[in-house]
Amino acid sequence: MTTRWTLAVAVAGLLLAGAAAVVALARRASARWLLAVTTAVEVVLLAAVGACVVGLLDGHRPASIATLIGYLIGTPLVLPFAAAVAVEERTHWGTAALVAGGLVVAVLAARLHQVWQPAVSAAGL
Amino acid sequence: MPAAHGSGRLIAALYALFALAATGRAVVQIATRFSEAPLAYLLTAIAAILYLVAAWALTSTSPVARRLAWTACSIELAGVLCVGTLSLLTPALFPDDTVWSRYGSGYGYVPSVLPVVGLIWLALHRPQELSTG
Repeated sequence: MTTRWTLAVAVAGLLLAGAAAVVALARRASARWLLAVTTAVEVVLLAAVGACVVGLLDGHRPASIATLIGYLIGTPLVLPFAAAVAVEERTHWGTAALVAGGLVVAVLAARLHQVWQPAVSAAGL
Repeated sequence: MPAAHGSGRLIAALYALFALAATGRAVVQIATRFSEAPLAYLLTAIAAILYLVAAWALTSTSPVARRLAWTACSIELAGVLCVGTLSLLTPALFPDDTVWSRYGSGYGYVPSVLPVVGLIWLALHRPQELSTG
């Protein structure tokens, strides 16, 4: 993932984690606006994943394409799952799932940035 | 009692997340370069299965699920301690990393913390105690 998209996704994920943490620490269940924020973060993430796919189609070759594809498939699953937990578990523990989801997305964005880098030229592939 | 609630569901969700991470890692590693470090990749696959079992078992309060949850969390704790120690003492055994290498340092040490949290949660939330008050 390019640096610009990585920053966008990481900041979005951290904002979600921060907002959800405030709600969770107030011992409240996730409100509708928090799920809207979650959706917005997912949209940013999907746009970043789309940009990666376009980059791959344009001929970008990361060090390990299998690893990159694994992360491109796995990362967008995190927030829908966290949102499902938050909707089903109507306590502050459900909100805490959104905190975890936002943090994990930020970490995965950093990981996608690493995985996106091309192979070191000496590798000879 | 159909399902665990509250904190148990958050722990189960974290287990599901690690099931996803370990499964992804195992699939990519075994599909692309199994011969390089077969032991490491098999351990990752085993970890993935354990995380999946724990994720499911922690959300149910049936006696069978409870026993499975205890077993899965215990094996995980033993696994992360054994593999973590071995990976530091004899790195040659693991040419590539597993989820459990160096006590899960590649995953923010969450693989070490998660089974401990799971076991503590199981000890504090025994179904029979919940039903008797």
